[in-house]
Amino acid sequence: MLNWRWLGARALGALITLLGVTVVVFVVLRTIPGNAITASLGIESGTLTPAQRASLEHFYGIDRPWFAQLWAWISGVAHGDLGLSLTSGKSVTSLVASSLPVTVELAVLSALIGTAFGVVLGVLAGSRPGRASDSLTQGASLVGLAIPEFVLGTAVVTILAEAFHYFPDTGTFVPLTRSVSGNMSQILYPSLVLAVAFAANVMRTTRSEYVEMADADYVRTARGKGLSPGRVRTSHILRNATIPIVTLTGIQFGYLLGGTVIIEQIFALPGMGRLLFTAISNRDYPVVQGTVLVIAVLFVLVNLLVDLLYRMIDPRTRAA
Amino acid sequence: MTPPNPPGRGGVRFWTNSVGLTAAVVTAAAGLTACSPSGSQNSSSGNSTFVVARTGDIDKLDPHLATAFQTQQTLGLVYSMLVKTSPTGQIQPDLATKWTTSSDGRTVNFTLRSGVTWQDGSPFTSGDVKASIERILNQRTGAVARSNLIAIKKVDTPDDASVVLHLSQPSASLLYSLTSVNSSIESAKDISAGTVGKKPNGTGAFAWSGWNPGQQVVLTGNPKYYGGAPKIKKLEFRVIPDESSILSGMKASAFQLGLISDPGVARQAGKSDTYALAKQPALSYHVLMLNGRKGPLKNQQVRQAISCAIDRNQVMQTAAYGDGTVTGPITSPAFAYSPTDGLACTPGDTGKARSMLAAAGYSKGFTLTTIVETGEYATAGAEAQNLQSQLSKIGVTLKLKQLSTGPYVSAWLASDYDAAVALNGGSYDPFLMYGRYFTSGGSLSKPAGLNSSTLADLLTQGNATSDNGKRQEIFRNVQKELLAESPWVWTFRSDDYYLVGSGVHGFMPRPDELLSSLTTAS
Repeated sequence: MLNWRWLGARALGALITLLGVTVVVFVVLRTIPGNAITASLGIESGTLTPAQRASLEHFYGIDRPWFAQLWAWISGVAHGDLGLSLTSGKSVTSLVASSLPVTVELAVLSALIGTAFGVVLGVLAGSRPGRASDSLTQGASLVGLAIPEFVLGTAVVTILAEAFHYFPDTGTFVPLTRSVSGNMSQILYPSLVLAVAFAANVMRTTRSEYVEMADADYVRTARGKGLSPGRVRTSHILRNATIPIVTLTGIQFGYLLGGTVIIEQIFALPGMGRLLFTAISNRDYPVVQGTVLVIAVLFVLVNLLVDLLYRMIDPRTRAA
Repeated sequence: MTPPNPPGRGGVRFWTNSVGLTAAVVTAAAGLTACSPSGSQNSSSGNSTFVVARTGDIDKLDPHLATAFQTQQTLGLVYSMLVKTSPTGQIQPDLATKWTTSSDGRTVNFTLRSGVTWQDGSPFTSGDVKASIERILNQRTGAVARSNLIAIKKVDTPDDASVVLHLSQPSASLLYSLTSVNSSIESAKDISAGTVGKKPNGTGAFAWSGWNPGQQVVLTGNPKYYGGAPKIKKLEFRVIPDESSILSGMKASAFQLGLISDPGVARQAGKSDTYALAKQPALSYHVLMLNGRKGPLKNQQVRQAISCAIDRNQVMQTAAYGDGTVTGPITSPAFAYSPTDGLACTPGDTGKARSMLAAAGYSKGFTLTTIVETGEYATAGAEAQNLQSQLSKIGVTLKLKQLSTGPYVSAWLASDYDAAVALNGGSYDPFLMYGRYFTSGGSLSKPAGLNSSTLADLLTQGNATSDNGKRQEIFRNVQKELLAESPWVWTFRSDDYYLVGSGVHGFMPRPDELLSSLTTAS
């Protein structure tokens, strides 16, 4: 049963977190030397006359005091307006709306593939610790963790081009709802690359939990009662090993939402990471602030979901 | 510790099968995707789309405000200028078919091309030229070309096909300034309506079709283009942020043209059936700027010693795998001089450099805080490290400060540096390269770090005369003076790299990085 007081406290905490993120991003962006004018004009900004500079500062909205800019931004957000991009002139909401589905799909697919492989391999390794299959699986997971995503991504793109004369589609993003094959031709390979480290982490956690749970008294009792190995594995070992796996999956998924920058660059996917990266380069303040806020909201939501899942999986946590 | 009752062999087989099944599903999906034709080709509407892959996107739709070269490349195909340059830097007709300069150099008459229409269908007239130049000169616009066109004090339009520019002083560089994309002619109607920068409307070979920020820009061939309708009917600039991915895409024939700048990626390109690698020396140049207003660098002999100690070829070999050309200050093709004419020594002569430092009273050397811009071009870090290594041999320590663009530009403009590793843009006209740095009152003279009345006078003379013979002599002396003063150490001009698809005909790279030949390529 849902504890409304608990939920209210979490929601309040989330709001404070989001406000903190907003203020920190706002301040950090303006602390770094340079602004939208220097980012746009480079050393040419030094050729501007005072009147030209004043005109451009007004155009970019950086002629007002910082607290006035911050207040205007927060007021806009409260009314659902994330502002306008300084470079493209498009609304930040529309830019986020077009890039968010790409990153969410990328993260979800990576998480699904990574979790599926990770759990299965983790159980395979944990059910026969010390054997060849365990060593092999653990070795593979170490390799998966050790290879940086940018190396793996570049290697995948290069091998596909060299060996198959294939390059993942970099044209206009095709939503899954419009064409499954068109969507997969853009999203599958980057998801597989991201899934490698995801799977390796899940595999290692699953294995250690499985080994620990398989040795527990209640598992021995279950076996002594004559339950089938499959029932013992799923209902007694895996269920109790699930909480750390869910925790890890939730945290990793949260990081994926904001951490797909490199892969989106390599595969030229128009997701949130790429939007943020470009906006930071251009000092496009409204886009950076809007993107970070949305990523923070997603991160908070995922964590809230994980907490809710805990309460469903393990009744003991409901008392907390 | 081993569990007391491990699953039997059947359990292991179950999990092995599970892994196999999951792997099989993913592999089958990946295989099916890989066996289909390259996705990028699928995304294009038919084979008529010519796709240019490059790492950056445009940042503006207003050519008067454009500084990113991607923006200039793109808008340069949509807009036209009064005059344009050939790849070797000769002034050629564009919207103006003829021009004459008065004997005192203060009046320039242009005869405009007839029958030209804007892409929205309205006719092009002299009123558009007047409105465009006045917009550039208006301080509120923030136009990039204003300082180069500042000599224009009045624009007259005697009739629809004539424009007269009245100058405050003779300016031989004016015509070159008018060839810049930043001097594009915009529609007077758009200017008065305030719609410039919202949807480009030019008179160029390609018409604006759409922009998906961060992803692609689409242009369509302008059938009414006065130079003849382009063979490319649909042109797409696609943003592929990673240069290695551009190379892979070219190998898979996903793009028709790939633009790269990293020598390391160019080396990987090798030979291919699907593309050819074209190298084009750029007008831009790599340089170590010395702030002649600070510490030991105030001393000309110290600057000369640093200039003498640096082997330019070694910098180029180390940072760019030898791709490029060792250069002196002037990179304009029509003003090619020896890169060392005027230097007090042979570059790389560390013995002489040490004795010059000793003579200047710095035998124990000194430390220079050196700013290095990261992320903007691939060779910056390697250049800085090589320069650091070479100068350590004469006791000069470069303390490297790696900065992203914003902090780098801020530090440079505030003269808050001893030395700066930089890649500077070049020009077909030498005055446009150095007038703003080394003339009195030049817009960037403070951060450039040198006051030299001789140099300032030479540059002013070079801009005041239109006689080519005299200009050649004056700018030869400008180069000598720059190398003698050694405010900076010019190292090399790097190559731009173009991966040209095997089916592409007529594409010709240019030193100024513009893609004008796409108007006739197929």
